[in-house]
Amino acid sequence: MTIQTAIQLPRRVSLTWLKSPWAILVSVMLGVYIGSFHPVIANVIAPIGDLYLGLLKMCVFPILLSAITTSIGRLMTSRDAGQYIRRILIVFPLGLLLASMIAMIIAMVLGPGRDLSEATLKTLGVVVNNSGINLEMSLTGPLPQEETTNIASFFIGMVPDNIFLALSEGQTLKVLVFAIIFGVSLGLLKDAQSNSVFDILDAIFQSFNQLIQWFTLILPFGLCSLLAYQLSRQGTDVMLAMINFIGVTLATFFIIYVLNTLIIWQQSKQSFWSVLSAVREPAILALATSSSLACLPSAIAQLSGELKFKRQTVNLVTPLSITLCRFGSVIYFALGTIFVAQLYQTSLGVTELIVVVFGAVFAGMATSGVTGVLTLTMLGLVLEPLQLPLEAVLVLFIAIDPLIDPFRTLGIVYSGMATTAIIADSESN
Amino acid sequence: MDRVCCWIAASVIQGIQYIIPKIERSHVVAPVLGLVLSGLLFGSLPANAASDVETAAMPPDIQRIIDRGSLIVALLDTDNPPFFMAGEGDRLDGLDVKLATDLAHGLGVRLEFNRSATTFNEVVDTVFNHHADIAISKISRTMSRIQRVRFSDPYLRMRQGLLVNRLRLAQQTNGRSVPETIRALQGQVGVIEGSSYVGFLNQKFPDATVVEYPTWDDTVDAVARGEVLAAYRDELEIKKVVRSSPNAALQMETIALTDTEDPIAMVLPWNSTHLLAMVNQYLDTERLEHSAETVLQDYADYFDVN
Repeated sequence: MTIQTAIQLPRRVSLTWLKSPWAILVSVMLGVYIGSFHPVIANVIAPIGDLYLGLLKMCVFPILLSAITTSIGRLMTSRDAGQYIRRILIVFPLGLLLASMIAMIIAMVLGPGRDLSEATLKTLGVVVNNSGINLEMSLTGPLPQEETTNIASFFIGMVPDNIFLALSEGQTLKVLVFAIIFGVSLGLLKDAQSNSVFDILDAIFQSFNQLIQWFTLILPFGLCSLLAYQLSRQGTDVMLAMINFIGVTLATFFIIYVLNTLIIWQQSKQSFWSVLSAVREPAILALATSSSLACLPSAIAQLSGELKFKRQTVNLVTPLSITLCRFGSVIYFALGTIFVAQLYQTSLGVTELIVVVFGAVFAGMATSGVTGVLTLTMLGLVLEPLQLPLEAVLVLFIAIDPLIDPFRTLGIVYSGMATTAIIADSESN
Repeated sequence: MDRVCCWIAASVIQGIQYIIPKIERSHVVAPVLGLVLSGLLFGSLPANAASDVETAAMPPDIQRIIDRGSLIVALLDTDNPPFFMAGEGDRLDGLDVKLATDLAHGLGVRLEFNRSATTFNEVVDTVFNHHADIAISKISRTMSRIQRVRFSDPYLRMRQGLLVNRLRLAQQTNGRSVPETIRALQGQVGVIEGSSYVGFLNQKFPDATVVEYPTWDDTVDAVARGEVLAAYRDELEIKKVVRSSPNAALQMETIALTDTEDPIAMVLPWNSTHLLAMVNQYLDTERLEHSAETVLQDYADYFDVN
């Protein structure tokens, strides 16, 4: 009821009602309704969501570059540098391995790929057939050159040979590496001149942060349109056939969500409800946009604003953990690998399970350099050492990805925030 | 029922062979001698013609069919969709059956099938032994077959294909790409016993080991079980497997080899030269040259499970 009165008073200058949780709830419900029952309308209003997403993404690279460069630079001048770097080097790998292990154990216990019915296999087979992935190749002539991803090419690919190209092509990982190197060198200058650069970068960061704050006013509209469009393009057949795997995946992400909330709550030393309210915005954004980068500004703002973690640390750790650690992808790949092994009735020994844990971490992190379907092909990095085939299952994973992607993004953003919470001190300390 | 039909067909053919008797049969025993004797046969034809003006008006291979009032087409005994399979009622349907019907129609005679052969090589033998006028039974042109019979122009040009067990292939790649692994294919590959693919395999994949299975179903089962790495046959049969039983698509993948060919043609006795000319003219006029894709599309209803 409160909503209605709010809507009836649009003449008032105050637009804060657009920031209220009720406005968001209404827009989510409206989005779900339109997406489920009126796919045509969902398509019509899709541009609003694209516009909103575009505005958010517009702010990501300036924020990423300025936040990391300044926080690394300032860290170099402070005495805590060693301590923070140590914490990052311990918490990041341990967190990733733990997440990978949890996902693996859940998949092994629940067995989403075990004993699938004939009918299920048939539906999945039709999906694979319709995808037209039949290979055509010649026995003679030069071999087609294939883009291969291995550990060496991954590390070489992290270094931008042209930072402006990397920025204009939106290659997050390269920008990240550049920002770190740039920040370190700026911090080591120990010169008054470097301070003015820091000031400029700070101003950039602040102004884009301000923009993000303004954009929350149109969040309800963007959210409604994004959700409606997302829901309107879910295919039901594959979803039903993959129901076991989807169920296990969503359950795993829920468990991770609860764990992360508890971690943030513990670290922030605030009431549970205020924590829930603070993480609401990045969580909803993650589900609606399926873009972890688009959620980055909001995550930083909530962690350093509402939850009062040290701004400098948040500015450094949150971009790193969200862009580099990719917990959501790591978890998904661990689940996916176990699913494929069960599907092909391959039993995994202790060595293979260790390969799964580490491989999923590596493959998950490798997704930070790519977008779209390529994200899922990184699963091959885990499957290949295990000698499991990728092509057929990749089709299935692509088919269910419209449903999985939002939750995977939530996993990425939310775990990134929890990691930050562990590393960063609360400002009250 | 089938046996009775075969017996009738066989006795009809024997009746026809009364015209060209013992000489023909001796080809089976001694092909070299056969060549010489056939020379004699053709030599003797004008003599026959001189005595019978009506026969001389027509080429003998066509005359034989007109006199009989039916075109006998050899067909493998087991159905092979979409080439020949049970259609509506007790009629046969399929690409080969359609071609046969058109030919009989063109000749103005009835259509009969001789389905006594249990293997593709036996189908060729049926024609060679004059137990049928022509074979339209998804026969591949090979060098060994053409030594005894004649082939029409191909009515279907297919590529060769591999049906690969995904898991077994993944175990063999070792960081190489799939095309690279396939080119240097090692391990056991299943083919139908005595089919043209035994020879193709030795030629195209010298490092692979041939494993022969009595039927195609056995071969496919062996791939599904992982007993062999792959099965080798024409593209169409390979794709049929995953289309007709989609649950196999997760286990097995199809690979079409773009620089290979498996041309499918009709088979005629080597001395049925005029019928051959007629068949080729028919194929040319109707512009009948199918590919695996067009056939799979035209006859999709027969094996797509959706």
